[in-house]
Amino acid sequence: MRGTASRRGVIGGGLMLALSAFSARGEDARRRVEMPLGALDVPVPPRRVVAIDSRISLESALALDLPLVGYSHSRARPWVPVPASVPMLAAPPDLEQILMLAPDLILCPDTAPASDWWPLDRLQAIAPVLPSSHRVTWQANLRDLAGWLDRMDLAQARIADHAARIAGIRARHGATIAGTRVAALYFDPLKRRAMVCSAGTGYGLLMPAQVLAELGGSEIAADRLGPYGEVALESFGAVLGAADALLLIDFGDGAPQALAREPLWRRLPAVRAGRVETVAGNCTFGAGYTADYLATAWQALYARVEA
Amino acid sequence: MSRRAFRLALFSTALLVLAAGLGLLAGPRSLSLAALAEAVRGHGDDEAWLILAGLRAPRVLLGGLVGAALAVAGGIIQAATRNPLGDPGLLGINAGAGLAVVVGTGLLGLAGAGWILVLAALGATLAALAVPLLAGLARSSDAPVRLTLAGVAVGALCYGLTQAAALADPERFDLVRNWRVGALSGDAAALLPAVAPALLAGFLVSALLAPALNVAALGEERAATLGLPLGATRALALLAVILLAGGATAAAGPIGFVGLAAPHAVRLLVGADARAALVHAGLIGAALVIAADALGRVAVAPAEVPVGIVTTLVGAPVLLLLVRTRARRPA
Repeated sequence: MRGTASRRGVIGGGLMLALSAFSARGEDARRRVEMPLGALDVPVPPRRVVAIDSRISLESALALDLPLVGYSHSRARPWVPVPASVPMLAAPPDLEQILMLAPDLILCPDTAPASDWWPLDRLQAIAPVLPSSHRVTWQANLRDLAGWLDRMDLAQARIADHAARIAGIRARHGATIAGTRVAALYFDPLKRRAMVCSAGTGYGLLMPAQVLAELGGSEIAADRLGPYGEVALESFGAVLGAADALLLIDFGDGAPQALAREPLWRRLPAVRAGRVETVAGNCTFGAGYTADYLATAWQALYARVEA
Repeated sequence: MSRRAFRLALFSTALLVLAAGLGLLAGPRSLSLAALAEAVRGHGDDEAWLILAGLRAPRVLLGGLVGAALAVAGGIIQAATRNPLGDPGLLGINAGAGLAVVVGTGLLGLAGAGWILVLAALGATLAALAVPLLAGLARSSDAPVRLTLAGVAVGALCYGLTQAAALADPERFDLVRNWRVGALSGDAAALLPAVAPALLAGFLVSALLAPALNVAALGEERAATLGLPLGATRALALLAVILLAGGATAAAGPIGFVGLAAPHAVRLLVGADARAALVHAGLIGAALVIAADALGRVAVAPAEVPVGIVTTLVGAPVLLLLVRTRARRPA
């Protein structure tokens, strides 16, 4: 037993040394930044960046004009302008593949640092890792990254651009926004339940809830939902019946069609009044680009309410 | 029918009725018995009727059919292979169905509940046919052992390929994750007409097969001496298992322990007579799945624990208890 353990230790240590040596190639100027978990030396400017999560990390990297060499988790959403030359890597991340890309900086959510999907702890052996959190707003994440990488002007411009968009929507639909209770949801046709994207569920600060909060909208409170926003089909009337309008997120799995066949969905006040706006693509997580996309979707819903 | 047999039949039926009542009452939306009764009489809330007739009743019916099918299939496999550990998983049915669903949805892009049903039925059938073919069942004198080994090998192969296919596209694989642990949360009203013919045909074949299983239980030489066509009996048993377990797995995913535990529990009650054992196994299997599903719906409501997880969590200790009870009994 002890022999096995020590053999593993030697192999693990060797791998770490190899990783460090490999990733240290071509090192340029570095800047010491203070992180939540201590000081870190980051390259200035970074030349080869890997975004571990295709939602928050990728969108933040693009907003800060970072030179990406790959991203993981899932395919970039159609509204995220990722260059065709940037490949999607293995998912969950394959550390060997990432090592071979020789990144000098990695962006990774701090969701579960020891997990396979966001292996922040192990990635630190390859390159400096800058974290982001799904429990704070995308603007806060972007500001943190920009501060560490000395790109605050880009972040401020991106945030201001989005704020102007939000202000425009509020100016056009302010009264409707104030007087309408809404819910953003997606439907799982296999489990026959809705997942409502309100703030305060176990998923943290979901993007539809973030953008709705920026607009000043009113949503169904998380305490009326399951721990992750679940609403069983038989509870649709009791929970979703309180919404005046619904934003239905279509993952492309035929859910809206399945939902349209459900009598308990069809009898909801919002559905009967035609106050349902369908938005294509998984926009539950993300950052600035998803926020813009959702702002347009919420605007379409409020316009529908006014029609 | 003897008095004891009558009492046992009453007991099994009462269990099923109790479980069905629980299944109709339990759910994330709290509905009183009075509200449900009003809904049935047509005087109550329209929503209550939609919940009762559109969601809970079809689900209870599907759960009952699935549970009965798995239990009867398990009883047939245990009797035909003379292997007390036999269950539908032994013939690679669960693993075959899982592989077909993951390959179909993940690699071929076939989405939706309808495709899952078709793929699962196809995978379960192919796996169940492959196992006896690979085992050389028809020619072998040690058929039960060979069948078990071939089933384990096919199951392991299918499981390995499933994991590989799942890794190829984790996001799409995630869409069928719920089905893979065994769940009755799908559209039961739509699934029922699709799988009921296969399940009812399976029950019919099982009823015809039961007397032959009693003879086969005497051992191959004796059975042959008594004129039992062993090859035809095995083929019929295989057909029944494919129809029952294949249909059940297609409808609800791989639900574990029912096919193993229900026949075991029943043997303690009614003995080894396959005719009585299969009937009681069906009733108790149905009650077990319906009750487990009801428990899963209310335990963490409004979230839901899939029935496959509940049957495993409840079934494992119950099976251990049965084994210990049996061990204490004098031979």
